[in-house]
Amino acid sequence: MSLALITRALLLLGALGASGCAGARVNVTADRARYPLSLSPVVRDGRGRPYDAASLVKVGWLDVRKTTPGFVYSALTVPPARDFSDEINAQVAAAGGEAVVGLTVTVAGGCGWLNGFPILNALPVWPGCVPVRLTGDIVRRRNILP
Amino acid sequence: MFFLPLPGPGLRVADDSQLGISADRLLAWTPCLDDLQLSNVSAHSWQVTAPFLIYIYDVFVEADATEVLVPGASCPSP
Repeated sequence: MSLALITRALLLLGALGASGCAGARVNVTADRARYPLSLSPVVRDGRGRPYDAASLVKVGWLDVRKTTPGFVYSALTVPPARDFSDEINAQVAAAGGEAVVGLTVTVAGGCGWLNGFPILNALPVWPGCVPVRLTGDIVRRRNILP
Repeated sequence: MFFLPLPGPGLRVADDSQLGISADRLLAWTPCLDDLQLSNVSAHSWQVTAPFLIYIYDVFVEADATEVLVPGASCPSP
């Protein structure tokens, strides 16, 4: 067996031996939000009447980010759930809004370096993370005074 | 899912599926009398690394969607 072949085999074994996995999984909640949250451009009032872009006015932009760490190859996330209610309530109230439409839930960037950190992410205690971002339009009904 | 491009031999597959969810697509076909309610929303991010060989990175958001009737909702008159 040639030296080059042995070297390649050793490098391959070394790379595989240093391989690892990291990440996180988190439940996203907003159970205590005082305002309706709609992922569509339409939101309903208490009577079930729908309001769309023609009957809503945008008064602000919702943007909340929370990053949650995970361990043991993403099997254990601490805490397992993140509630966004307080931030949503604060931002909507500050904007004088009545609801959020066009809500999106995304996994933002920023954890790739941690999840993919060479060699160390082979260890179960090495943390990964998941950065969650909620965005949307804060709106209120037209012709309704705050 | 992303397989990061590597110099030399290695995986070079990429799938740039759009991140995030928008109910525009979910609710576009919803009748005016009901809505889709999302529950059990969860976000995931993970990466598998074999140094100099493979970097596999994936992020996704999952949710359960349930069709619910809206009390008092009515369709607009034609």
